[in-house]
Amino acid sequence: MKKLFGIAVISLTVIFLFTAYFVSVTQVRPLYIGVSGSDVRQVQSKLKALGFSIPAAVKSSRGGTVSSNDVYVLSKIISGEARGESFVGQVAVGAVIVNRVKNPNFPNTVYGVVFEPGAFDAVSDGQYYRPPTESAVKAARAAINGWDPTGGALYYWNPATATSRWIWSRPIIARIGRHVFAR
Amino acid sequence: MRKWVYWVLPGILTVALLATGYWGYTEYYARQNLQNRAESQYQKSFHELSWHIDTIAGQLAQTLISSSKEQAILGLATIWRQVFAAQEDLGALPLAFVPLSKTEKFLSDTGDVSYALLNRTAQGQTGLTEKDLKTIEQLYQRAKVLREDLAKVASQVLDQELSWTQVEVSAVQANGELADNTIIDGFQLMEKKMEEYPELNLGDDFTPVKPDVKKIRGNRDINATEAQKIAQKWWFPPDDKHQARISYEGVGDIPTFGIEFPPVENENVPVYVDVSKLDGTIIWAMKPKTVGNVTLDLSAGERNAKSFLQSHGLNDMVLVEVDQGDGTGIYTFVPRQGDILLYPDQVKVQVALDNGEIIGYEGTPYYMYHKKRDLGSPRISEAQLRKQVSSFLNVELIRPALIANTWGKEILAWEVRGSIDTEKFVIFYNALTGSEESIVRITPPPKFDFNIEG
Repeated sequence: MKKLFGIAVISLTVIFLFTAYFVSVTQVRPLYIGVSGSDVRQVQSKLKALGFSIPAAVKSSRGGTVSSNDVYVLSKIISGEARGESFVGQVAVGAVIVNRVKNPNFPNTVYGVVFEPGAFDAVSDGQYYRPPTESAVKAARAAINGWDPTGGALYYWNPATATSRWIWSRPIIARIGRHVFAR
Repeated sequence: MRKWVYWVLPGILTVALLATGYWGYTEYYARQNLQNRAESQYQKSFHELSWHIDTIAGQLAQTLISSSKEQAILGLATIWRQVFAAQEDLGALPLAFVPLSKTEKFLSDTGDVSYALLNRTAQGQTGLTEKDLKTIEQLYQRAKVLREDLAKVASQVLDQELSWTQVEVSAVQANGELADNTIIDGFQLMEKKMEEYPELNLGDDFTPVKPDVKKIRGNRDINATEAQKIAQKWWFPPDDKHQARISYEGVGDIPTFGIEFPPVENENVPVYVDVSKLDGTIIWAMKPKTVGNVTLDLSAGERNAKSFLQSHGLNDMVLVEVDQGDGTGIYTFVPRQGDILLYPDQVKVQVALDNGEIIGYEGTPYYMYHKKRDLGSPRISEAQLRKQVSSFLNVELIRPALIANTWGKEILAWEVRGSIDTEKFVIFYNALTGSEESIVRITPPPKFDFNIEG
């Protein structure tokens, strides 16, 4: 009986140690479907070692071509911020960023606006650092070229999850999908 | 014999505990390290900001007391540069949740004014006028307040070891109010002082010209049903059975009905048409589709775009720009009055280069600005202009055009397109005075490939 107990404790300890090591190597960044790199392979081999079966490829991506950094950065932020929104909702989010770039009260470049500390959740939580979706790339290009479903909005938020009370005082000028848009 | 078992377990657990402790410590250390790095970035941006504002205030005063054109130019150039740097620094600080619009407006006004005055003084014969000095004086008064308030915050940051990462983490409290934080309070106080100043009176030259849409477009409001009919007729053939619905209403710069049609055959994204409430004009439209293999070249697409515009009553449009990507071409056209190109009134048409279908239209500027204007004629002749153009520029075309400056003021200009080496430029010369209004680089940006998630 005592022997059995001892074996159980030892095996638990080993699992514990293994987990600690496992956590420490994968701590570096969050992994999603579509992400690739040495850490992904490491996780895959570890999962395999632990007896999990994994799909043939976690990574599945196609290519695209854009003619400007702005479109690429914009498509990534649209992907992170408006995944699951309709196409017009994605163009609208892109248009807000383009409107900010043109507005004197915001930074003058797409990068400046997107990476303003705390301005976008997708940048803070790392969603931005994933490849953009195809529809986000199209939406970004439309937004850069002037398509603006919001009619000049500078802010948007999801009424269900918005945290800042101050933002509600802005005049709302459109509601598209889950977002409200304001000046 | 079995006694050693009682020692093995605690032994292993002790090792495990030590390992975990070590791991935890390195994690903590790494986190602390990152936080310090973020903090030092913020500190740098903040102290630089306060230094730039101080320099701006000083240079504004210096420009006021200078009596030579050369000194004025130097002062204005410094201000312009320092404003740019200050804006960068402000954008790098975690203040996105703190309303600072007046402070930001002050910076952009100062930048715009200094740049415009710099341009004029550099090209003109005289230095700053009495009116200019009055504008600079107003800017100086505000810069002085900013400088003092920022210096106060700066001394608190230094003296009380205030943390910017703390601002970042706890700027917004659980109840949505801004946190009670010395740094945030300092910035809010500064903003309040800026608000108390009356609106800057920058004179006619620097006051934005707003288009009077109602004057151009009349006052007849349409209702939702009319809007749907107009959208249907505009995008689809008359016998089409697509059922439209109002997707959203916009009350922004242009009040509109957003009309949505179900996706066309073999597609899964709806078709959108935005119709103005004022007179039922199509503001923009898009029919997103999956573009197949590209079979058409850009000029074939251009022909389709042009005939599309003609079929919607937009005749005599001139192509001024093409942007190719995603198997589509986005063509920018401007209308003409006589032989003068009207740049403020542009429209864009997106053509799929697989079958030539029109998949997008953007006519907001055309809607807001297009009207018959009293343009006059250039006072500088084309022959005179040719002598003035730099000999380094390989001139491709010269034509008269109407452009709008930073403040929306319309200027009759000569448009000169040309290239030097691999760089392409459009230069606009004022057609009345001959001065260079602006030089725009139109070299296409480098293309690159990237992964998309699918």
